[in-house]
Amino acid sequence: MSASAAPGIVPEPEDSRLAAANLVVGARLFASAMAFVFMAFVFAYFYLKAVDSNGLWRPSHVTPPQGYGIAILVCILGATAAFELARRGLAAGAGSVAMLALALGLSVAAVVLQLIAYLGGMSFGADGGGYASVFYGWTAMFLAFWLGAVYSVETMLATAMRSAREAAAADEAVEALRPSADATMVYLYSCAGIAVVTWVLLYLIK
Amino acid sequence: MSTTESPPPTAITKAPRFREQLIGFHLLWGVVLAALGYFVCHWLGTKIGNHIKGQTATDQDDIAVLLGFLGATLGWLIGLGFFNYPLSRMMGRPASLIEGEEYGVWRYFRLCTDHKVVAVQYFVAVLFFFGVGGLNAMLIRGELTSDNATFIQAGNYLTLVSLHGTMMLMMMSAGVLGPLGNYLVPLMIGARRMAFPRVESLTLWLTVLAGFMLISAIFLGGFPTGWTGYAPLSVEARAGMDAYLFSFALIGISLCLVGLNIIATVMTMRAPGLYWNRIPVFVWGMVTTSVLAVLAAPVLFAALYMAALDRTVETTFFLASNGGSPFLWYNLFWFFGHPEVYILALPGFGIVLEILPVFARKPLWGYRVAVAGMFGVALLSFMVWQHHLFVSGINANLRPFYMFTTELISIPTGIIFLIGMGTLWRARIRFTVPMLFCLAFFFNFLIGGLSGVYLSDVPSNVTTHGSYFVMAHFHYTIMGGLVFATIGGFYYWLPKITGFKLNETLGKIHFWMMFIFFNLTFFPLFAAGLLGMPRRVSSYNPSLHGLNVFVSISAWCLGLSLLVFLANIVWTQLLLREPAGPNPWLSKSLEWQLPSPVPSYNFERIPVINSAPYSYGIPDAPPVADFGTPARLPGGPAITPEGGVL
Repeated sequence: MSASAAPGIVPEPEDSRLAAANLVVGARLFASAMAFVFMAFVFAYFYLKAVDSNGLWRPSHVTPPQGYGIAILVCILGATAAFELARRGLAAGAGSVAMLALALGLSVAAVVLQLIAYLGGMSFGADGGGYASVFYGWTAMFLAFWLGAVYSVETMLATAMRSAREAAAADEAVEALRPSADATMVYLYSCAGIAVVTWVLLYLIK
Repeated sequence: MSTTESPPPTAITKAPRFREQLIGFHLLWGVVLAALGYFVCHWLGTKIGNHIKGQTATDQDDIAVLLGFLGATLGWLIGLGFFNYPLSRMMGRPASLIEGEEYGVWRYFRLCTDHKVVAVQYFVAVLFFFGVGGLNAMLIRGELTSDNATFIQAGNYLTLVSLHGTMMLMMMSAGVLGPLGNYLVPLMIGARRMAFPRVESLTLWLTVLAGFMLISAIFLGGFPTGWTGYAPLSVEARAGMDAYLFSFALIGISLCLVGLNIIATVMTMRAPGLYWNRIPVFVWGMVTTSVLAVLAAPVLFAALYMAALDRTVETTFFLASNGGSPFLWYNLFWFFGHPEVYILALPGFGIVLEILPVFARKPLWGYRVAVAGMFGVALLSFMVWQHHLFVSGINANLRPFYMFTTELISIPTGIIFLIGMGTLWRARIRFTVPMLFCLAFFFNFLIGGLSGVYLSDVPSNVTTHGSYFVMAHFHYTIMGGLVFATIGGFYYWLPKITGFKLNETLGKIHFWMMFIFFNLTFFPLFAAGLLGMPRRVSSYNPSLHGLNVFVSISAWCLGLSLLVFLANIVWTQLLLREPAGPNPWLSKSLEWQLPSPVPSYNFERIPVINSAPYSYGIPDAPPVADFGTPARLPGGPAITPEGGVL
């Protein structure tokens, strides 16, 4: 329980740098946790491949949609690069709305492409053996985490647009974005790293 | 970065009227929208399920049940107001930290960002679910008074055991990090809040929902797998299994986020002067536990997600008949499951090592070694999981390695044990209730630890695997260790949390009953295990009948002792309400230098830390912290850093 504030006591204000530091540390820790989620899938991939129960790890008809795989990866890497440019722009005190909009567009495109692949671009179902299980489980989980990235980028863009509209000075608008930008970047880099591993294991290696 | 200062973290405003409060986001709406979300998504899931032919190996629509749980979770969080802030951020509104801190009692039934409120919410929730799990245990012992199934059928008995195990593991995981971690970590490090206050509240409400979802398994046919959820049984089990999978996943998310929040708080929000070598050992216990939670819980989450996919969309992660392997589950589950054991043990170490110096009136002996020991345990706990598979057909060449690492972990554990003994050496001990529980912790944990050495050894593991020996072992470590330490912690810190004393006599009655009957309950089960009594089976060899009746009677007395604890809380905290004062134990730790209960802003000024809080019996020791201006009791006199009143 906590008592109410005593009359007349005004607590010392909190340094705003604290919130920014928290966000970056939190993003790094979250990225670590996310990495362990996908480590479980990496383990499943190699374990089931090694065991190859009943020779059903990857039947011959099970081939991933290469075109979608590359397109999704390009969108994710592109979104990450665009966000990095936006962040550097912020660090230099410049506006960043265009780059943020590009990052958002590419990140949404990755989601849309994955959904299209699920609905019509697959040559195998989730019941197509060990590889098929890992493929569907992994990509769907990644999609869920990537939606978090979409949310972060959208939030940044919305904040940038609102700040540009309402802030009295340009540097005030930039200031409103900085704490979240570094944290979002950590998350996007982590997602991009996982996307590369996803592509190598699920699409590239036979 | 900007050096501008944000507004004060606590803005006290006038409390709104009851009618205004009823309209807002709170528990009532959470329940209503959770029910609505469940039924809408269940209906949707049924429609989707109908489009997927031959979708599952089970006899019910798992898609509908799991989507129903997802809908319930979304409805629950919407009703409690967790989506308001993210939506406002999506519209570009500025970030904020405070939510729901200004309302009186009402703040306990909604999203509140005051870490002390969240801790009390956790305490009540964990106590409730702990009671449910305990009630299951009483029923289990009731059934075991007969050597054959009597009033509980064999299938229902399995569900009962599974519910008991899962509930206890889930709630004990949250049981220390939630109430004590959230309450004490900011106070002990001189912070006003946790790093992510909304995340803190989110973890609580997810835990509450997970508890109720797990209970709902009873209405969905139960689940037969125990808390370990072994495949392929889990893939084929009835819909109660979905409740297990979803609720455990929620706990996994909650556990991970609690850990993340605690680590971030300790890393970034320590008061000036609180160097790493001055951090209270309790906080180190929380940090090491949090490291395990952040890294192990995601693997559990992934494994549960795979099992849910196997049950719904016909993936075959754990079905050997179609390219999967049940061993994949064993490995993933125990990669989480064994660190989970230390998620339960490390907070106990932190609590007892924090309390011992206070009542021994001596500095903590070997502070740095104790911290190193905790990290040693945390690190090694990731390298031992295959000892759970010694008899499951793993490659025999792997056994020596895992036997070695498991035995190795007894070294840092033993070091922590010796730190406790060293602190007690030649001390003038005050045998208060918290101290008695700490001493019992060492006694019980010693038995649990020594029996664990037998289980790490391959030959004796093969003999005792799946028997009551294992059951007695882990009850000695978890209940004899963590539960005793946690209850000791509650006796110690509850006067700080509520501002009211607990009754010492009732506390001592509780302690002696619990200590005696705990040992009378679980020590004979080592013998039952060695005599071949298997776990999770309601019938056993008639020659063990007398032993089981004795154990059941002891178990009921153990349950009774916890009712004494409950009675003590209700009587002293709700009825008697005798003020405890700011520092009844004469502790040097930072939280005891504040008024009881602690004001919503914690510290009027962030203190400057001068030393670790263990300088007991050192005549010229400096004050632990410099508060700038003296901390004040609300409306009362100022108190010194040493707890005295100016």
